[in-house]
Amino acid sequence: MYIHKLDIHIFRNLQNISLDFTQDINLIFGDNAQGKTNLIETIYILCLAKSFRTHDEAELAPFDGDTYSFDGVFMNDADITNRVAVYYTRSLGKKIKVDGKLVTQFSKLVGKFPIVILSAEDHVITSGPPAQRRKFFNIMLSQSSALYLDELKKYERILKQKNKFLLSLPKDPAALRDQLEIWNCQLINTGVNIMQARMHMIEEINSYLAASYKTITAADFTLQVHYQPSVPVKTGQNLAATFTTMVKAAMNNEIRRGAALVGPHRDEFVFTISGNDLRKYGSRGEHKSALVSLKAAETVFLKKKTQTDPILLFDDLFAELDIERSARVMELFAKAGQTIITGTSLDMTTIKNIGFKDKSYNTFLVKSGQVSRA
Amino acid sequence: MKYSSEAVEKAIHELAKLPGIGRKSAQRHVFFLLKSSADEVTELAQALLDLKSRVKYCSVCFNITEQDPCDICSNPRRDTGTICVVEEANDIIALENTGEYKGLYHVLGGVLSPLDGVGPDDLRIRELLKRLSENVKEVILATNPNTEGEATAIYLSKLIKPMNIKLSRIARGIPVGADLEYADELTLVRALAGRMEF
Repeated sequence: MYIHKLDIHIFRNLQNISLDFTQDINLIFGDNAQGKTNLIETIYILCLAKSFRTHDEAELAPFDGDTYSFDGVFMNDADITNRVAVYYTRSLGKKIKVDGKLVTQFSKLVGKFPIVILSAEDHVITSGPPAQRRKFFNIMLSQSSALYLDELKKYERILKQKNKFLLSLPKDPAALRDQLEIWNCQLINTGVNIMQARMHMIEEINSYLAASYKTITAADFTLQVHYQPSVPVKTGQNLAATFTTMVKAAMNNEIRRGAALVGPHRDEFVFTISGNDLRKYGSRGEHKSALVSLKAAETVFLKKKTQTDPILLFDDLFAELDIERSARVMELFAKAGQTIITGTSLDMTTIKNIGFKDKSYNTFLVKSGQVSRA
Repeated sequence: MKYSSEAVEKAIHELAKLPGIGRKSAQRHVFFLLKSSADEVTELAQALLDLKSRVKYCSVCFNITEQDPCDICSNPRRDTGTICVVEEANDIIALENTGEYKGLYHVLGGVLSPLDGVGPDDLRIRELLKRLSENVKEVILATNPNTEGEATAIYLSKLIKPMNIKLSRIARGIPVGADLEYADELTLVRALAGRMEF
């Protein structure tokens, strides 16, 4: 799968831009604040229906937030094309069409065009709060399985209902217990599916992680991710049964705090390097290497699940890497599919010096909202 | 926009309150009505008035009806031992169009949803339980298969199970006439999970 054409009519500081991408490597360079990340952002939205930078649609629309619109043509491995168009007006909100047909549920788009992004904001995945890691793994799993995304949406809805219920409890204790139970019952059913999907994913991804980290550091350290579910289960124990017991035990606490305290919305994922907790002991360089390894593992995982190479977006990745490490990153992703890389002209020189082996590449220059072939 | 006639402005304003109708459509409808004959407009106006004056809720099942009890509840050929529980009265229309169901209905008038401030006391659950104490053998829960519909079904099942009444939930899966290859992945997975012995 790769993006073949991108037409931006209007989006942030970009206007009337039409680009042809190669199936291999696309280098987008320019000085800071010229519009490189904006360009990448449109590709991300075409694949996942939302931005990785903001939830505020109006922010994406220039001229007082009235409108934005862009479209892209994707080509799959059988040379079949799909045209995805995204447009927004303040009065109608965001609309997405695939091959001219309106997409009624944006979630149906997720996973059709798998994508992996590595952007400046991503350092929070390894260093930030647990919610950031859940978000990362949720997006990855959702792209790999429509069922996971559906369960996740269901879970979030049930959680909202339960939390709202906990804030407006009926006075009669019997009624309270009965009604709390109906939300718990669904929370457990859906929560079990989510936790099981996460467990299987972690088992699979650890081997990819270890291999990637070894390649990128050229050292014999092992990167692993450990799943710490909100409901810890030992082998042989029944997850649903343990979940039920824990939710029951937490009832008074949940009522006092007015929030659901047990379930996959409180899961944690812990990264370790040769057994040491990355978040506690990791250096800046180790975080960066772990993050790149994680994205490489995501790339392999998505390829296995979706049977196609995801599109890779590297936003300003090489700015913080020395030549040696840049070379290893390129090596790590040598077998990946279409890669779109942004950076300064200095970064581009570095990357070109490393070379792409037998891959072809296109170069684009971004300057104050204008993009030209270089 | 300002209209030269207050009556036109008022009519547009009222029509635009209807679901799915914006000011532009309302304006088209009003100009259409202006061109229609007085008889046609009177007929429409009368039909709307009749809606409010003649239609009421059935005191047994809370279906919409003109006579109380409704046609279904008062039909001697219906099976009074079976009650199908639905969210809204328009769900009955869909089920009746099948011509397959011969039992009675019960309209809850919504679903449990703390987010919308709807609890069990806001639904016609007490009325349902009262009906169940009178010779009912089977209850079919036909609330929607979403979070709130499911929650309501679970809540009802907890109340009804101890009453020794046969309880079932409508199945979900592949639409009839749809080939497997065209069903989306999600529908198929759900259908597999809810498979039945054959």
